[in-house]
Amino acid sequence: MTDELDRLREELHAPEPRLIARAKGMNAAMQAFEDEFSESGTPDASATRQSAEKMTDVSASASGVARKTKKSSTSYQGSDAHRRLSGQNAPRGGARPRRRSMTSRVAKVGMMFSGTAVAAALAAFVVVPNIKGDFGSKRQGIGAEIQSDAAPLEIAARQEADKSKVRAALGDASNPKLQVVPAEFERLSETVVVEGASQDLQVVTATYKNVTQTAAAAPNPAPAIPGQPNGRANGLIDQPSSVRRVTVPGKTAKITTRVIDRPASVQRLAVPRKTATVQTRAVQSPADATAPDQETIYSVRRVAIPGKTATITKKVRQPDGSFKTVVQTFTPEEASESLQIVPSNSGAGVKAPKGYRLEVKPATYETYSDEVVVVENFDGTPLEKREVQRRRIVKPTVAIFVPIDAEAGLPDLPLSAGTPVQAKPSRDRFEAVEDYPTLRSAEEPVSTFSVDVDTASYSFMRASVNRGQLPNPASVRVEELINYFPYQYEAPSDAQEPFKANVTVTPTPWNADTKLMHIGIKGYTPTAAERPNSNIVLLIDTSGSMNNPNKLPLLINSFKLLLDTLGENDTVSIVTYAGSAGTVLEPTPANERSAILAAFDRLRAGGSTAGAAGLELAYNKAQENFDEDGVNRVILATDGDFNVGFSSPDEMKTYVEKKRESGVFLSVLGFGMGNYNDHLMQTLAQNGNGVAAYIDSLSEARKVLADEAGGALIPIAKDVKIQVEFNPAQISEYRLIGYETRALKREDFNNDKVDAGEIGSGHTVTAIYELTPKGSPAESVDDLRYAEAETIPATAADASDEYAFVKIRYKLPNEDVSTLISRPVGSLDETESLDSASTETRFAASVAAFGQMLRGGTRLESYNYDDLIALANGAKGDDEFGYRSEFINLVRLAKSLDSQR
Amino acid sequence: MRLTAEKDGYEMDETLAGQAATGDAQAFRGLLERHYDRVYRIALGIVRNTAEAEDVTQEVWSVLPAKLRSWRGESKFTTWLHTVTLNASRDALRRAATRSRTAVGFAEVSELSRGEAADTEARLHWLRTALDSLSDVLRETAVLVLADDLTHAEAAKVLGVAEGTVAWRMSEVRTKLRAMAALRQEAAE
Repeated sequence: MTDELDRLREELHAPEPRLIARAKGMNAAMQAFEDEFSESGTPDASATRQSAEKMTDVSASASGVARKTKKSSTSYQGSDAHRRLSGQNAPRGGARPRRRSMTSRVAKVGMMFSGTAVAAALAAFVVVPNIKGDFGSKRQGIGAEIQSDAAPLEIAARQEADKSKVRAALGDASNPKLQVVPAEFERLSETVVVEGASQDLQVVTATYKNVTQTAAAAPNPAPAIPGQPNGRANGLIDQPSSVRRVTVPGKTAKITTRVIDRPASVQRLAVPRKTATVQTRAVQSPADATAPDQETIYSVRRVAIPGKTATITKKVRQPDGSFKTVVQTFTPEEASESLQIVPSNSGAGVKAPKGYRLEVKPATYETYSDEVVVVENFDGTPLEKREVQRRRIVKPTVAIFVPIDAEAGLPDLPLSAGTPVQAKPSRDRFEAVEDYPTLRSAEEPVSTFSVDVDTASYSFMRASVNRGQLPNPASVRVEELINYFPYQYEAPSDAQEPFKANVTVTPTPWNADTKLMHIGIKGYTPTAAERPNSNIVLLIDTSGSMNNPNKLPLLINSFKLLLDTLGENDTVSIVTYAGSAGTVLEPTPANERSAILAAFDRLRAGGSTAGAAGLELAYNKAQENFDEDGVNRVILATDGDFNVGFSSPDEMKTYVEKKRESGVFLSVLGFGMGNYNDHLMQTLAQNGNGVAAYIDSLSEARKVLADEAGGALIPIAKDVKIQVEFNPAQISEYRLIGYETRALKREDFNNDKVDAGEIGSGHTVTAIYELTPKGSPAESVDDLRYAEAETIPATAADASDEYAFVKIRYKLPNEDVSTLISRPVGSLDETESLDSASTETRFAASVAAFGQMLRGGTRLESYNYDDLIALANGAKGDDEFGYRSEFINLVRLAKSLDSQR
Repeated sequence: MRLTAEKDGYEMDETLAGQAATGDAQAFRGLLERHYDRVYRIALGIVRNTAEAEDVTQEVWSVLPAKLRSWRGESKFTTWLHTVTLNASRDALRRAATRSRTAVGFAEVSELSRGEAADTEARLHWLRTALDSLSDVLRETAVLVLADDLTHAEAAKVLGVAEGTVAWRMSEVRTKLRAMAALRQEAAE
């Protein structure tokens, strides 16, 4: 039997903090250190600096050999050390603080990667947040004696030794105590001179003695007999006693020579702690050591730092007095994102302005107390609360350009100051669709379209802007941008009337002569008891292209979030496709967490994509477990490579359509970037009565799958179409903003065979028309000369002051016959000024403006980013999840990107 | 040989700590590099929750600069660091006890947020079970002696007990672990 104690010893030695946690921790510690010592500073700054310069000289000569040798892959460590050396003694807050912090970061990167094999493996993906890479420097290392042909372990050992040698040297130089020693030594050599002077003085005394003996005038007795008249003057005082012999105490100097036996400590450190990874690091970032300062194209990658989620049990008092226990989650630490600067390998990104390098400033956080309801009445009134500690972001992580030479006094610049570098054509595919034209209501009074609750375009835009690139105009769908945000519209009270249409007319922010008509629809949110059961089949793409941290692992974690929102009556199955399609998990009740989680853990990416077979298998699984009264849905998660099996998107579309009729809906979640087939995803989700969302971070996954879980999963109405008829007597022109891909023919509105969008519980859908009132100077289309006679269609006379008539047609999820709701829109729905409009309306207008700007913005007159930021800023409302603040930041970023164009 | 090396290593710590105490960030970073994971291991052994241990580690290192100011080098740096870590871990454990439900959730999510092998999970599970089976004093002693290879004398210093007590506790730990293994064996059969 093995000794249990030994096993415990072994297991206790094994654990390491996660890379992310370690990086965060070290950052925090250095910050704390910085804070602690920032006031006091180094006591003897100038001496320290002098000494630092000396040290630098030494290092320069030491690095002579390295200079001569060609750059090798091992020079990374050397350059690291050298930089540390040259920067390390800059006094705090003094001449070169920037370089200092940079150095520290480099050191940290090094540290981060000196880890286990796990760390080495991760290094390949560089999933390291809060780390500032240092890509620019061209300096040579001092690793003179490092031969590139040495065995890796040996190299590592030597590098480690080198590092410690440097560190030991540095240690001495920067220690104020030890610093004093060389200073004393200097003075000592002066002291020798002083001592000499003192001897001279004694010689003088001796001469003086001689003088008294010879009764000659003393050359200068004054120092010897203070207060006495001059000896020579009265000539009487000639007593030897009066000539006091001044004993000048000899200065004894202690020459303290401190020799610190450094080799010993070097020897100690030469035992490499973690050796193998050093080699990995050298391989992973050869560019770092060689890339010239100005040439690096940076791309900034977002790394999601998942928020911490905790569960708390909540008791809900039922009407009969009993208690029902619900497990609710809350987030003690909100999810954040960290940025990571990587040298771009795709060619896209930003180039640093001359003299600058890109750095990441980590986020700052604050902790605060909050309350969570633990006992609640059935009507939702809280009965008991518990205090919890939560943490939120004060300042999000940003990437900024900092001057390479801090002494030049240049200011920091935002990420947008870099020159955007266009990527080689991306493989992301978008279908370009023209904006709706402005139409004359006298000629075409009716506008018809299908609702759209997709949000993929927003996430895609965000990912793009964050990378420092304006999105491809074709990828921007204004309605998806608008509908990304939850709006607090008035909600219906009953599932039989699944939604309410709220219509308001406001002035147009970008044009004083036109008006905006908002049609806001809010879906009914069923109570927990009314919630239908879900039969969910997850169809997961495990093809080779999914093997990327922002794809498969993110996907798995996203579904884990979804799982939290499901109950025992819901079932989950998992089907994968790649090479061949297969069932990973047969339909399983959602409360059997461990079985489902184990299935997730079995997922591995590899192989090509057999999309069609996978889709078929997923539909079969859904059919197998079909729930007559429940929601039956396939959720497809893919990076868009869906190319095996169907010959064309149309064939796939037909297939999905057919399946939809059988009662199984399809939602599509897009992951990853660069391979994303937007058009196909759109087509699939639209025809499958589902939602297409693009997931680029865990927080986005949370938004789509957990916070709005009900919405995406429980349809409350399908085939929702909107038709608006304008009154030419009031409105001469109109144009629909967005929904270009959702246009329907006028006659399709009443045709129940024609498919349209689906609305889930709690979803909000907003459509905005820009209206030109009759007689407004904004009228852009001239009257027709020959159509004069048949102007206004003679509707009811009392309708003549109405602007428009809005009709909405929908089907309940399991019905085939549509229901119509309608209402006129007139001056009663109008607000005089934009300021008096609701925050929801104003915010939607700002998003609409932004979407149009990204698409080219030909209709926006002189409206600019600043106007738009001001409008959005004033309309943030509660912004519970921070979506709106994020939007405003994106606009700012886009503004600066735009100014570079 | 090893002994000399160790000795020099410790002197290195003392030197670095002395320098850090005067505001030398480089030296402090050196300490961080050398000992960050050590603190994590001790904290994990005591709080038995990876997320919590990560927090404790960060906390220890964040308060260290302030504490360093008053560090007089009377004891070895590592001994001192162990003491600080032990106290912080104990505090964390106490805090966790008052919100045990929350802690369970934390553990679940920390598992969620990493894509590491199930193997690691199993090992962590064993570790947790083993540590859970020990009383607080035994656990602290075992963690100090085993996780960081402290001598009984050093551990005694950190814990503020006699050296003999540490020796006695360690034999208790061995007995307990054997009992646990035997129990498992039985269950398996």
